[in-house]
Amino acid sequence: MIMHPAICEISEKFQAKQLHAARSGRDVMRAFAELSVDSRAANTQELCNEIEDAVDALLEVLPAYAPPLNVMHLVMSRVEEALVDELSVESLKALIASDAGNYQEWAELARERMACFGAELIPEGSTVFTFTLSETMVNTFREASRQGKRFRVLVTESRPNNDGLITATRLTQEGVPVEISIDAGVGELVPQADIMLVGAEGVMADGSVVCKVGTYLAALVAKAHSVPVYIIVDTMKFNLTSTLGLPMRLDPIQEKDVYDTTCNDRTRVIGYLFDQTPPELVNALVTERGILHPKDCAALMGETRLSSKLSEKLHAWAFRDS
Amino acid sequence: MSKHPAIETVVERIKTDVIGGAADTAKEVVTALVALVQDSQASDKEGFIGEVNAAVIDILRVMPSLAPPINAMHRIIGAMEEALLKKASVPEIKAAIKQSADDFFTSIEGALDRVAQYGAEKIRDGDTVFMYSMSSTVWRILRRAKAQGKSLSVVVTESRPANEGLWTVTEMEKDGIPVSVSIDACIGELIPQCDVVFVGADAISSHGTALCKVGTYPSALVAHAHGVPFYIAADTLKFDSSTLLGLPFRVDPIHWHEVLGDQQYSDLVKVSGYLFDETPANLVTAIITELGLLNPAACFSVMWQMKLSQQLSAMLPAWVKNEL
Repeated sequence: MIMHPAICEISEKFQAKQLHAARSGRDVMRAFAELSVDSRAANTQELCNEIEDAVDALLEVLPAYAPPLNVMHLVMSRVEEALVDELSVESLKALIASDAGNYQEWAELARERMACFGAELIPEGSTVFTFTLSETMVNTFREASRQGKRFRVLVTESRPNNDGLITATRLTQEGVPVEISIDAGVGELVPQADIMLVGAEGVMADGSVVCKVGTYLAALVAKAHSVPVYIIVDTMKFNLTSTLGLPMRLDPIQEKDVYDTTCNDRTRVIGYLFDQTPPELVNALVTERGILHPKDCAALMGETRLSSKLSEKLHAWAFRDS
Repeated sequence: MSKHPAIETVVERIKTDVIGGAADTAKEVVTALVALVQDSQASDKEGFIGEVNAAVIDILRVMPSLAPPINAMHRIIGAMEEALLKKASVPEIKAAIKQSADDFFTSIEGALDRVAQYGAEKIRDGDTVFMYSMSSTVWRILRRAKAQGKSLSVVVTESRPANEGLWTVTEMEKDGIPVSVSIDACIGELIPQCDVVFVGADAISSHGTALCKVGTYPSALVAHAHGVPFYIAADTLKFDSSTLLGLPFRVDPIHWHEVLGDQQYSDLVKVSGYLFDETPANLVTAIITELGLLNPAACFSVMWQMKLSQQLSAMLPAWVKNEL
């Protein structure tokens, strides 16, 4: 079986860990659209098989990101509907092409809207604590700065990878003053902030938010000091898999993230790259649909149709490492 | 006036931060003061007191925020003040100081042994213990628990800057105690998986607040949120009597290079934060001291009975503000 080059390219990028969550949704949608356009399938069933093969191939390498999974639910639902409604292969291709177009438009609009809603939450003259690096969060700060608001940002290194240092560089390019510290310093930094504003990897059906490890710790400090916590996240990051009761697969921290050289055999390196912040610690999610309480996300998740075929595959996917 | 070589040496050693722990600093300070006192050529009390006070100021000027050496000096200077009240002669004052120093050395080893004993009682067979950073007092507790035949494992995080947590890893490996290690940001997921948390402290205030390596306060918040008992191991030498005087803990800021290294950053980037943070009494299950397990609210009663030197107390406000 020969896989479409666009799917192969995505697969390689996932394996090389070159795609972040937000970008991966857009790229996977585009890859399915290209596969569909280039397909020489003689009938609807053949195209459906090609798409399902691509889904299987991507599941092999997919990290625990919500957007690509949600895109696959969208495409697979289309496929299932097409078979039931006995659509022609041309009609199915047209539907997928239109989905891809809508997705790109939606992504543009979502980015603008989240930045606007988020910027409203930053008070004039305030101090904002943020963590790690998030494009959405940088956009929001840029928008607030463009509106003429003055504020300063506190951030910590966000090890491993020190993404917080990149945030410091990006924000100072926008003229925003930044104070930076080590991750263990959240206990001192967060209480100095007026609000905490961070991006997320995913939102679960129970309203808990999956973010770069250390976010939970910062949110606990924020709660203890009555600093409001806002998570900027578009609804494409709402993890539909969690409605099936499946856990979020999290990547472990590598030995090299802690030690420069290898350690004694007896010593294990433990911990994950992401942690879960429960909804009690989050004041609101800033989404493209507006500002909502994390417990309301289940209502929005219910609007999206899940593909039954993909849902069946996801059980094996969620537990594939254990 | 030239300085006594023992004082010069200890000042240099404190300044260059080559002494292992706070208790060792206390021991070296006491040893140096005793050497100065024994070698003093002063014939009258005024000259003698002047020499001692000058040495104390020299030491305070370089002293970081460590309670044990301050408390040790309280004892030594306190003994001198007591002898003066009794109208003692210079040789008698010297003897009183020597006696006070000897008592100090005897008490310190016994105290750490009792802390190890009481702390080990709080570890059950099969427990997973979270400890933050390094603390030779907590290491003693863990070794004692192992010696009691308990099977235990330890979880620690790096504790940046300086990565003292990796030092704990090395110590535990030496002692044959299984240890797992992670990054500081993982505290939130690791502590809920552990049975008990032990940390050492740099100082304990009169109202039960603990000054510890930065990252301890968020650890205590996580432990509190998940109902994991949180113990601070600290002999009463760590009880910072200057807090009785309303003085804050003196804490050192984190340096630029510890976060940003040699990289170039815009002038808009500042490095923020301190090397220590404060854990309030309400998050602490108990402070393990040589007197027993104390509720943090009981710190005042302990300090109330500590011997405090009036002269040293008078110098501390300027020391805390770095204006001595």
